[in-house]
Amino acid sequence: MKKKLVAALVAAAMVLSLAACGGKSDGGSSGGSGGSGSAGGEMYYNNYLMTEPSTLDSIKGNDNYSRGILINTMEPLTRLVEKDGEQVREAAGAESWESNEDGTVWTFKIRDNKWSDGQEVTAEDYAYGITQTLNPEAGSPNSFFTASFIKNGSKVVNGEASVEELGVKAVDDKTLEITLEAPTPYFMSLTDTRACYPVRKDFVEKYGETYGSEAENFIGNGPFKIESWVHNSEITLVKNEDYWDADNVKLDKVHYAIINDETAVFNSFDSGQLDTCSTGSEEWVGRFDKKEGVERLDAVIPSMRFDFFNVKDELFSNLNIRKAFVLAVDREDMAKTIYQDMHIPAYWWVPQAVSTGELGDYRDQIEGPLEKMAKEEDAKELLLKGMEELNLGSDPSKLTVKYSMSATTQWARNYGEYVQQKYKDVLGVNIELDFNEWSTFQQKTNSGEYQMGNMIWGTDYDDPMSMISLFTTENSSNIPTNWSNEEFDSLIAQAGKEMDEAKRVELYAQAEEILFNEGCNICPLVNEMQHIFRYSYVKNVDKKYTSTSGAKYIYIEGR
Amino acid sequence: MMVNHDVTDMMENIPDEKFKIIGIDKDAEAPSRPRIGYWRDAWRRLRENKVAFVALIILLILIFFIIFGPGISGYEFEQIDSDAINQGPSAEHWFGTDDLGRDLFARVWQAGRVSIIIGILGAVIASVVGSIYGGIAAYFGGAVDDIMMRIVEVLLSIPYLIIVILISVITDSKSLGTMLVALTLTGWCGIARLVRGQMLQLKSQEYVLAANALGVAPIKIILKHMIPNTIGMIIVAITFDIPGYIFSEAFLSYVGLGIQPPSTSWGALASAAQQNFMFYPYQLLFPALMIALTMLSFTLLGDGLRDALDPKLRK
Amino acid sequence: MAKFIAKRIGYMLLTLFIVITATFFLMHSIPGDPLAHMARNLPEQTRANYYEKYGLDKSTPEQYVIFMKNLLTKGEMGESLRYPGREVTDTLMTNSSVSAKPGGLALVVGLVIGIVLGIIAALNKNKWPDYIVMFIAILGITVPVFVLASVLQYVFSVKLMVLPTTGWGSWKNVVLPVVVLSFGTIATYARYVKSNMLDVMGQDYILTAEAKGVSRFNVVKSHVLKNSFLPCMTLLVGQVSGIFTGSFVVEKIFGIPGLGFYYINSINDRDYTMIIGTTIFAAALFVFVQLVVDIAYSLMDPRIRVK
Repeated sequence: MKKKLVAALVAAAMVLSLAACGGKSDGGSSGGSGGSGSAGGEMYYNNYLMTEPSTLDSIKGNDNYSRGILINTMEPLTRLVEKDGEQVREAAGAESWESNEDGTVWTFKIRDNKWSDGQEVTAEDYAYGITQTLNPEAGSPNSFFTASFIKNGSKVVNGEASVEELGVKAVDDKTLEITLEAPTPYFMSLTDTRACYPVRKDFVEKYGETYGSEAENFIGNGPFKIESWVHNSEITLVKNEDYWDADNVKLDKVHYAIINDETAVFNSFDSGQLDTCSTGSEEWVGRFDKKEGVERLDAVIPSMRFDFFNVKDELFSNLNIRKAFVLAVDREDMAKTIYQDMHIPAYWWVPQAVSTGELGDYRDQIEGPLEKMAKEEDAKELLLKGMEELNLGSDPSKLTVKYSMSATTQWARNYGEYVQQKYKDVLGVNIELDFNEWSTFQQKTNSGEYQMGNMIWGTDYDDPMSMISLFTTENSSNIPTNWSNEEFDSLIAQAGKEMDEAKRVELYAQAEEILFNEGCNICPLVNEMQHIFRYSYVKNVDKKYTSTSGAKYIYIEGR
Repeated sequence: MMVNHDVTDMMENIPDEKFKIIGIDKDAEAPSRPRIGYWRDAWRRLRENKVAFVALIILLILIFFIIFGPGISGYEFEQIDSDAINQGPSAEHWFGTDDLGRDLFARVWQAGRVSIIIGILGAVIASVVGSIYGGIAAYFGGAVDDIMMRIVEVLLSIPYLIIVILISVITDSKSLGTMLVALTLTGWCGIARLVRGQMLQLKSQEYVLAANALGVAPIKIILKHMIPNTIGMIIVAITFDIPGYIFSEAFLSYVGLGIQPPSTSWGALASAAQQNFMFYPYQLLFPALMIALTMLSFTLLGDGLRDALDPKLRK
Repeated sequence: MAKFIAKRIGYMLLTLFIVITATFFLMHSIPGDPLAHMARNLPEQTRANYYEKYGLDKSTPEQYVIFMKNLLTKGEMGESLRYPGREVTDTLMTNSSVSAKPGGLALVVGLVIGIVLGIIAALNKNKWPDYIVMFIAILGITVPVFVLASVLQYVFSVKLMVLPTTGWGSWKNVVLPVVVLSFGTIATYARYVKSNMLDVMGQDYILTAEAKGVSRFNVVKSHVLKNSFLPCMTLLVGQVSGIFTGSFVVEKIFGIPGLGFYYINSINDRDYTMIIGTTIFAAALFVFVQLVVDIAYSLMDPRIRVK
């Protein structure tokens, strides 16, 4: 769930991510004409993307939009599917898998499956995909998924070791062996990310740079294949008859309209041209709620909207000032006013809907650290204390803080004005708003030319590690707050190797505690939710955001 | 013909003493009506044009509210109220509230300041610069014309957004001034081309040729003859341009480069209301209505002015 | 005439050259990371490889020289930075032909209606047809395009369900965009034509013709119309080239895969090759149409003598 790309605080992002990314997005429908839905008709499902995918090359692409397409056209090693409301990891591209005793070597038996041109899928195809993602020559933005886990991964990415030294090899046609740096308790949750998709070497070599840029220059081995791709207009998938599990694929066609305008998406759904849509707008939710034959599905997304501070900045070098800014936010009011209660006020960093193996949702076990802090401390007092420590006097109205946003949309403006007003009311400080396009925002924050910024970040794999490890010294460039803490680092390192779930959760909780008590370099705002509407003739859709069965099991009844 | 002969004969035969000197009637040559200057005449004709006069009054009312309106409702235009979100027009909030619970009456008039200033100043600057530029190019023609028009083409062809971004980076602000510079930097080019086209026609008119032959200075010919004769088109262009600038600013707001919050404009209000116009039509209605009223008034006033200023239509 | 055209073509190339050069240096001087659409923190080695591949590791003047060399010798503009594997030239060709359909239709519709309305208004000055026409014309430009487009989409696609909301391929997809796009054109031409006609009708030769007893219809037909349209032709330049470059807002709302998208988004993404590609395309079109109009102008108006 690389949210980063979309991280822009665009209202649209909510919508998109829903439709395009999560497993939930795909469906199908039956009975073409006249709603007879009888056996004769083609079963199709009309979905949408809010932005054109940059490429379908799983190695080079990184956006949520191509992710929605790839999950249907590629066969990952495993899929996370829903059985009776529970998520189960199902064998997909791999028939079975096993690890050695200490959990450092994993062996996958590759299933007999065919590429859409009829060629056999081999272990070599998977090995090539995984290797290329880490090969700096191939230029993949997805290397962070696996770099720190697979043996020599980080070295290969940084050009310090050759690709041959990577812990990935095809033992024979049907056996894939992956060696890890260290035991990784949640390694399996990486096996359905695009960093582990198979890729056909001969195709990549044949098409070179243009691989994945057109329907014809792409090949997959998933339940569907691409029939056509009209750039910026539509993508049509058709059932792949060569797929190993084709019998269980009901849909004949999945149609993705590419619609850049949010209102146009809602209008299209309203008029029945789309079978599903996702909205973060209270008004549209209200409207669709009243619509007949439509079902609503709300789900928490493991994704956070947050502010972050540049600890190297003179003002924000002070912990009390950072705390003051974090505690000054009235999250309930923000959720209500800005997000119309479409998202949840967040007092934590590891979002809801992240699971810890057998133990279930992490947030059900651990209370959000900010909840306690908010009760005990007062924002204004902390600010004054901090100002005193920095010799800045005692008049907050003399402070001006530059607040950088990663979008320039109307929504971002509104949001900025809200923040401006609230900081003025609560702390008495002035906020200067700085709206940037994503490309500028990225450059500014990465080079440390900012005071505080605003972003969205979602998990990349289903474990608290995905979020909490972002603040270790090693990973600090992801959210460039320039904060570093040895104790925090060592807790995370310990957790990474701890095979006992309960102990791991405890380590995460301690680390999160430190993050807020000693760091406070981030200011969580809301935990995202998605609100999806779907015509009730669409059946058997994934309910959870992290599921990855795509459109494989969707069918249409009674369109 | 015979008659003529007779008359001549008769005249010749009249003796001198039959004639009497009656002096010069000094008033004979005087105009029967008082002399009226160009501008006074224009003003008189404008007043006679009822439609234009009504437009002028509407404009004055709008300007009155734009100046005093933000203070009337008793709400600050940027004051957020989480308990009064998206309320329809009522006794409390005359124009309703927006999605942050801000009073739209105050906001609409506050926004009007920015929009009207951008609209009028933008259009005037662009028209003046454009007319002079176009006039010079057309008058001199030849190489001067060629070079000047190539410059215009270059300016019109460089992506506008890059220029806007560049200016806001250089000045490090998205203030009213920056917007104006950004909008007018290439905005005058259109008018320059239009004026040039019109003037090329005028140039070969007899009175211009005559003035030329008499050695009148070029700048005087441009100002005295050519501009007044193009004034109709220029005024139409200005009245078109005022909304044009209001909309350009709105478009910049739409793509996120518009005026910096907490400042706001009609265009920004309208684009903010667009997404939910089905649910809160009044949020769109008021800013859109103000834009429409402003435009309507400027257009009708423009038509009136055009008639009033056109030397060919002088009575 | 041949000499005139040759000279103008020379100018055209010069203009293009300046535009390309200026845009190239301007776009490299605005801040922003062209690889920002990739991972938040692209590994250093990977980033370096990309910079090398796209030549971004070189200085701007060096990049400029390389770009010009490729453009002039091979006619290549390179590959999009934002959409790997897509040639800029391909995108320009495919998408501009899409934009041209609604754009061209809208221009024709707008021109015809606008001119007719303008004539009606001018011939009935200060009578009710004049007021009605001008009211329509003004309405057409008082509503921002994004508002008009959303409202029409809502009415015709959601409420009445007679037209599809978005998409591309069927004639039905073109109807609403054409309506929206032609509104502005109608308003513009109605007003300019009216204004010009009134100007022309006050001229001596028209008065003379009328004094000689030529019928009103014939005066309008043989003198007024031609002379009123000429100044409007300068307006056409921008609009004709606009047909191919498309409209960002309309294409976005109606989901038309045109070129308008790239004009705005390439700049936001700092997709350098696409920025320069779209610029060259628009500029070339613009100067070319300008040339055609100038030639037409001189052919139609005997008073403008071509040297």
